[in-house]
Amino acid sequence: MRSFTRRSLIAQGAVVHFRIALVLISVIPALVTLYLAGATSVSLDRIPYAGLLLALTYGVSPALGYVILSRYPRMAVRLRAYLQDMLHGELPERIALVKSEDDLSAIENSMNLILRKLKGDVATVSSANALLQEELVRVDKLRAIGTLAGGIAHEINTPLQIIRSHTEFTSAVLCQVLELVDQSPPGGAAGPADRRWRWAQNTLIDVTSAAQETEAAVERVAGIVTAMQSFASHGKSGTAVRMDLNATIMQALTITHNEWKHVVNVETDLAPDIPLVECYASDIKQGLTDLILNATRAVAERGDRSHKGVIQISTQLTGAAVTLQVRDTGVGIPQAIQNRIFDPFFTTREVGQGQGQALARLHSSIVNRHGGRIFFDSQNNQGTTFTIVLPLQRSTSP
Amino acid sequence: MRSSRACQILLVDDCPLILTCLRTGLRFKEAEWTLTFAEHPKRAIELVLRNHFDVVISDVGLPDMNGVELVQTIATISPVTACLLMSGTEPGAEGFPIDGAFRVLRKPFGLDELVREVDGAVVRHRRNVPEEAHCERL
Ligand SMILES: Nc1ncnc2c1ncn2[C@@H]1O[C@H](COP(=O)(O)OP(=O)(O)O)[C@@H](O)[C@H]1O
Ligand SMILES: [Mg+2]
Repeated sequence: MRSFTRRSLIAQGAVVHFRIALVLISVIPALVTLYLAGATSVSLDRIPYAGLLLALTYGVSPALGYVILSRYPRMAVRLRAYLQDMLHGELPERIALVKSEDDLSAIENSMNLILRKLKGDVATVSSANALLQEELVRVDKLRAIGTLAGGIAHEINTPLQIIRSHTEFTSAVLCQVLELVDQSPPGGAAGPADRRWRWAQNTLIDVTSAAQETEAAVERVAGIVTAMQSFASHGKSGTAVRMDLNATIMQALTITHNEWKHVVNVETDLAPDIPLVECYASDIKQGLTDLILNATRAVAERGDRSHKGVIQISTQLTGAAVTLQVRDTGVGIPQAIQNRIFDPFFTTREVGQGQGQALARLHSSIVNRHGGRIFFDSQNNQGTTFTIVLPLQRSTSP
Repeated sequence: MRSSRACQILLVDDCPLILTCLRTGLRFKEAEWTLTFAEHPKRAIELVLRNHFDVVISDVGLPDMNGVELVQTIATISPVTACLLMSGTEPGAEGFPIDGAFRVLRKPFGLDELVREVDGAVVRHRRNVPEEAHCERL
């Protein structure tokens, strides 16, 4: 579209100038010709000369005009076209005004330098923009999922309350009844009454344990729903809250349980004495989930199905900060990519498997939003340890 | 004598099945607690205006007014009553304003948890609201 416009502009300009030149250059010889032909006293023998001259004039002058005019105006027209393109936000590869000429080629070179720099800037801005867009979409999606999850949790919790109360009641009463039955065996020898009593006793034992198992299962569901709810409650992601880090770790393990249960055994070593941490809770929750999922994948990639791997998570109070470590026995991070894993969009996973965003996001949040540190240590085929040092209080300075 | 009287407890929830399961589940406290039930906050306020309650336990998501508003109202019209909230929603979520004055039982809670919270609320409330207030009321 645009290059077509530029070309047609150049063509248009050239045609206009070409016409003027034609007129100018043709007028003089034409007059001479007319004079030679003798406007007043026509002499027939002069006509061939006049014809020759006319032919020469109209044959040569266009070529002459073209040569003279090809320099200056074409350059001006091109320049104008380039500038117009650039104003429309379309940066040409490079500009070409003339073949030589010192002043002009100096201008040309400078402009090309500016162009190159501009193009670099534009590329940076647009890739940052793309990142931002994606982040916005993600935040939007998370918010929608959060609202949904919160609503679902509420809906589930009401019937769960009913189930929980009833099973607690049932198993308590069954225990009492069982005690009663135990205490009152039918007297006399083994007969039908005795068999009925035994049947009642055995059945009661089964039903009691069924009720107790139901109770345990309900408690598990309740735990999952609570974890989901607390994870989904993004709160105001723009404000820092005081968060129980150890509890959050346990919740992250609960909601990721299905991902790692066949791959690793999880060991936790959480310091009981750590105070609440002032942080952007949704960032930390998301980051913890990502670290656990990454560790799980790293172990799975080792492909040793006969041995489960291990993920160890620990917290420790270190001065005015908490040090959190996530250690895995996975494939490790190859030396060659160690300096890139925190880059946005860096991923070694197949298309559709990973976004390469998790570590970039976490790094940016820990360093920029929390004033903390994040680093890792990795041994090929031994495993990786990610360490986060999170200040208890976010510093008030900007 | 207060100690010889059964503890008067009002349970408020718009879901009747919740009230039923608590009624059955708390049967083992029959000797110490007298339970009253309300499905609507207006009914709860009526009951509090006409009767003495030691404890009110209210759900948060209720028709017409939320449970937090309900217990705030009850706390003003009956200072001797200790109030607790119960909810399947996280405090701070939509429709659940946080009021630090009231403890929250997160559904699904165990019956023993409920008993502990009620006992604790009664003790705390006695300490905070002077005995004269109780006498005045009685
Ligand atoms: N625990 C780990 N062990 C080995 N490699 C890891 C680990 N965590 C991250 N990586 C590497 O870092 C890359 C970037 O991780 P991440 O930002 O989470 O994005 P994604 O998981 O979507 O690829 C991964 O593709 C992987 O190569
Ligand atoms: Mg990842």
